[in-house]
Amino acid sequence: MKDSMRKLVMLLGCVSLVWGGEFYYMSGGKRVELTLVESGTVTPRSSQNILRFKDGEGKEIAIPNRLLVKLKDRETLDQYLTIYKMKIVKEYPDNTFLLETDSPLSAMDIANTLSQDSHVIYAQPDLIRKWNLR
Amino acid sequence: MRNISIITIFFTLLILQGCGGESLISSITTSTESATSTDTTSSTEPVTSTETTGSTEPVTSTETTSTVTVETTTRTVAPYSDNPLLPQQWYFIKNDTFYNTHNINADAHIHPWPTQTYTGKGIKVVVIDDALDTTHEDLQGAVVETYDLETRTTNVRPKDNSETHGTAVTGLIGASSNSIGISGIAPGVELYFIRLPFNSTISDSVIVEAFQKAKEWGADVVNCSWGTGSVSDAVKSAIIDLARNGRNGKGTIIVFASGNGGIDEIGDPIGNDESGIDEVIAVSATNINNERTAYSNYGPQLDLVAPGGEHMGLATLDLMGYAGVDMENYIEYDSSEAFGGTSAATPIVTGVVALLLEANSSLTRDEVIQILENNADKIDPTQCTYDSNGHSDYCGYGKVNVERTIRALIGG
Repeated sequence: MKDSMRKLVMLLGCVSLVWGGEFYYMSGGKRVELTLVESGTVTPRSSQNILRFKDGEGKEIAIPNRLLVKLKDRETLDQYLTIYKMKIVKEYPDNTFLLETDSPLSAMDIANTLSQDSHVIYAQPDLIRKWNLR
Repeated sequence: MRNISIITIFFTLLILQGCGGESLISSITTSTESATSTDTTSSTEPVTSTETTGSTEPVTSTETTSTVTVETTTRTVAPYSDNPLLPQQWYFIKNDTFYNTHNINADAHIHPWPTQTYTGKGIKVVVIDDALDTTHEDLQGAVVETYDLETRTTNVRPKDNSETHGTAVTGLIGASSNSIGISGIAPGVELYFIRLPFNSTISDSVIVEAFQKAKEWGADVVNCSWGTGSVSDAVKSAIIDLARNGRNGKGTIIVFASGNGGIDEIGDPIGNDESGIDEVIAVSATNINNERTAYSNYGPQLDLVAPGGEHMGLATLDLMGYAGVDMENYIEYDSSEAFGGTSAATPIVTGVVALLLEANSSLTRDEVIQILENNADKIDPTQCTYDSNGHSDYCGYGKVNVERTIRALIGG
């Protein structure tokens, strides 16, 4: 029984690995799939808890425990803060907020969940990456 | 959604553990960077500038707002011909001797307005780039306000010798017309500069702040000689907000470099780049043959082309003294590190927009873009096939032409 259970767990893990897709963020209504990587050149200058990824084009992206959210109505903010245990880091004009979560994974998952919410204009992790001069 | 991810990770960890990957798991799950500098995004304090720019420009008046000190400067614009390096500025004004010597196509420049009636006077141009040498001799009196989004100070000077890009870009737009160096395309503009750490990494929230800062300053035009190739929702939203709502609702004109993807000598599609946003002007580059450069990116989003150099660079500002690209204060046309690319073409268009806005400050963003596009030169028919709307994926609506554009605006 124990062996069967272990095989099942390994099978699900394999399926998950093959399908991928557990790491992503939403951009323009589309999923941007990410692959977790061990290390990279994207290094924030400050003390931050981050997860490192590569996107489909091989570009490095780091995700901290922060997300950017734009709401249709500010009144919905408090309930999101409560439900997802988030703190406001910065408030921008037009109901846009930089929010802090307990981990990078939470930031990604909450952003993906909020992206499906009709009261949310956009929600995304606070992506950290290299910007290129041209 | 969160539960699914956690379960998936749990299974993944288990399977990796089964493969003896325990140490790998612990190292890739999260990593914590050691603190090396102040967190640039965690502040909840309002942005308050208390430092001065360090520049020695004459200040004629000062007004204080709740968060920043706004300085107003007055610029004196001498005849373009007074600038000793003007003959090298092939992208700006045709100098017969220089053109003949270097076999430059007679139309490679931007066809400047025949007089200096328009210099961009009173137009607020915000440059977002890596650093600005505010002590440069050819920028005295030009820089009104600066802000460094990395250090949260007003000191935007280069942190090291590699940060030359922003000074070169800014010089093309608004270097002073005087008896030294070059003249910018719009030497009368009021320059504002936002520094971002392009030699490191930048979070989207900081980019969002940059555009909000530009809005706070009342930007008429914003120059962005950079990009990612994959704009996020938050950054796109901030750019569109400024483009639509800046200038008290008339719209701020935001000019983006399309990018130099041309290692295969054709460029790359603009795709989901910042320059591909409908509300901005996407700029690619032309060369001394008045042709599209091989490296320029392309696509239906491309709006205009402007001189960006290929066989010859664009003379512009270097860091003062021995710092920077060359030993001199200027990057000359024949420098081994000549300045070029869509980064260089973009400030040319930014400068022209400033001239237009001085000629008619009531123009909306849409009107500015339309008049630029309607009066651009349909260059390079070999590479650029223009459709019935006058657009080509490789040259946009054509190469910017100052004289035609202003004539169309004011008549005559």
